[in-house]
Amino acid sequence: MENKDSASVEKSQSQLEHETSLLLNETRLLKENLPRNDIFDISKTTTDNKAYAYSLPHNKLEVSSTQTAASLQWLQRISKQELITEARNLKHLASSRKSYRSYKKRLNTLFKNSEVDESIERYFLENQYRELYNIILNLQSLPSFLLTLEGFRGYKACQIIAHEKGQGFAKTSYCIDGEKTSTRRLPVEKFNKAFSTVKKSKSKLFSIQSFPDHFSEMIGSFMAKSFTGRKFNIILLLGRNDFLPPNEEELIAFDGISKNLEPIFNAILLRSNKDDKLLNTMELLEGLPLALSIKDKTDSFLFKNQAFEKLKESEVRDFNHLERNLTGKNTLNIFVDNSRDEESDLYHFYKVSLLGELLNTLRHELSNPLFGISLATDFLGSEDLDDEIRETINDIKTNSLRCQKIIKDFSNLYEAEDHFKDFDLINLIQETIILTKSETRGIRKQVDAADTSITIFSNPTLISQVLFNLIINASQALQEKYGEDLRTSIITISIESNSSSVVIAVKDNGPGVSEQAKEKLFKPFFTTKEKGTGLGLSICKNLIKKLDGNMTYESSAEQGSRFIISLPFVSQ
Amino acid sequence: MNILIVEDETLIARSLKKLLERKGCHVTWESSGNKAIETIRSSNFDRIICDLMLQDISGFDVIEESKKKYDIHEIGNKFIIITAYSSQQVLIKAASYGCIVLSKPFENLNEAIEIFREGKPNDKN
Repeated sequence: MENKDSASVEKSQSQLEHETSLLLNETRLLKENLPRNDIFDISKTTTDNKAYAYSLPHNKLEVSSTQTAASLQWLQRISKQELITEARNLKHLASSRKSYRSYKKRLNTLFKNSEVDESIERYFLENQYRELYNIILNLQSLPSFLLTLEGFRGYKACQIIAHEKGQGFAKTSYCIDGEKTSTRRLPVEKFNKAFSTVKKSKSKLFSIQSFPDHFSEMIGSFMAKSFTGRKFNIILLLGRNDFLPPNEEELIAFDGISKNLEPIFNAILLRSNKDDKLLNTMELLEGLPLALSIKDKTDSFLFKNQAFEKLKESEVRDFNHLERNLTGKNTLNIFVDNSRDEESDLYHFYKVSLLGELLNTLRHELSNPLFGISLATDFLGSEDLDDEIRETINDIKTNSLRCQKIIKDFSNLYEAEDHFKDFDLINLIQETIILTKSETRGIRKQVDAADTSITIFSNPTLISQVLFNLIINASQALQEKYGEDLRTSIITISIESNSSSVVIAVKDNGPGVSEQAKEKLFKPFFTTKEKGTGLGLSICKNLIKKLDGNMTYESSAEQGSRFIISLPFVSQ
Repeated sequence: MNILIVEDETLIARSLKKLLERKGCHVTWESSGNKAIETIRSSNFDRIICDLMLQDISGFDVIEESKKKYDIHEIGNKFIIITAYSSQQVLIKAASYGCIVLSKPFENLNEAIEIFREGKPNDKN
């Protein structure tokens, strides 16, 4: 069986060689002899699906479509005057011929078990189909590639929506002529609805009205096909961004091509998990507030992230440049701005946790000797002593008690992360405000609460860290708006509680947050500050989540920002 | 009344010793856990006031060793734990021995002295 296969491959290989050399000669002759813009005298004489015959000025050519699709297609297009016989095209064909043998072999082994339609060769230039398998590593880059296919000539927009079974979302990749592919996530409900619409439809012809809102970026009428895989369901959309429905021929072509895409989809999706990982890594690197790029050995860029793009020539000199060798002779370049470290949020959090550790150590190391001192004064104080000594001992006692109280108050703010306990929220807020004193100098701070004391059971350290961060953020916003003159600036912290929850709102009368920024506010690495890392709020939100609470943002009625922390109200 | 204080902080131990002696107790002081174990083995005490964070071993190790000499009921009555780290785990572990825990610094010194002398407050009821 296999022998027979390889024999037929050999045969078509030699045939192809023969035919293409014929073609090359013909075209060369045509080019030399015919005046420009003259119609090539090539006509199709047989319209049988399996065999074509072409009469050329000096030769008659008979070919079978299953063997020489590339040369045929090329020939057809010459006859239609779509192709100008430039050296480039000849070269293209020659190279495609060269790789034909390995391509055929590869196809045979790769798709031995999957159905590759005969029409595959009618719609794909040989090396294109090979490319499809070798180059396209993920679905994201597939739409833009499909648009370059000869069979999809004239189409402007392509979208592929894939849903991995069991996931709560589908991923869509949309490409419009020459632009970068955009990807986003779709709720699975929308995908399922659209999927069954496409699957049930016989016409394959759709308009955007057939689909749920925001499902597709396509315009006008377009074609769609659904693919059912073992792990994935896929919808392919293809359109010209106009309202004219495709003709019969185009529909057949779409059908033929899309049929042959199935093994490609399977092959791609097999690697999909790896791709997701890669994609996530790419996203992370893209958004990293650290300028980095990857160059290949010829010194051209393979990858640049946003921070790198923003990096100005003039600034680079002040940056520390790190270069690391990667595999494949590529190099990773990282630019580190030394000046920003001290001001970053990360550093701040590091500082806060370090301070917490330090305070904890201090508390434990100091509380024992201080207790010893007060015990000793108790014992001494009850002795028979003259007034002066008694007074002195009393002073020692008062002072050591005061020291103990100070340590106790501060260590409340920085207890171990998993330490839940009953504490007075209002007191905690006031202590946190004291900690922000130097950063919020000149700004009025107000605590609004119906009660003078609200005892809750939670983690005071984490709550204090979050409040600390919000107050610092607010004061930075206020300083940005009011500059030196902070007389009218105010940060209000209000507390409302009912039987089930406590809501703490931190409000300022600063510039507020723009509509676009609102959506991304809690996303890691999102920042509007020139030197922010964009981690502060995302860490805050996570800390509050740890406490079974939630943190949201609201524009307040007057101007400014309002961050709302809601916590479960548990008290003993 | 025979009391043993196991505490490595000299000033605390010495002051407590003096305060209790003034109330008429006979007080022995050990600053290390291992020495305390020896002392408990060789002498009899009505009350053992034991710190948890000792230099050598934990106060709980001292209690565990003492189980060789006293039954669990006696352990609960004799031992009073004093500690600066009264975490939930500590409280639970102390409860498993039936011991009470006083956290340092004492909120009320006189009350603490009273508990050292009389044992658990509810034992009287």
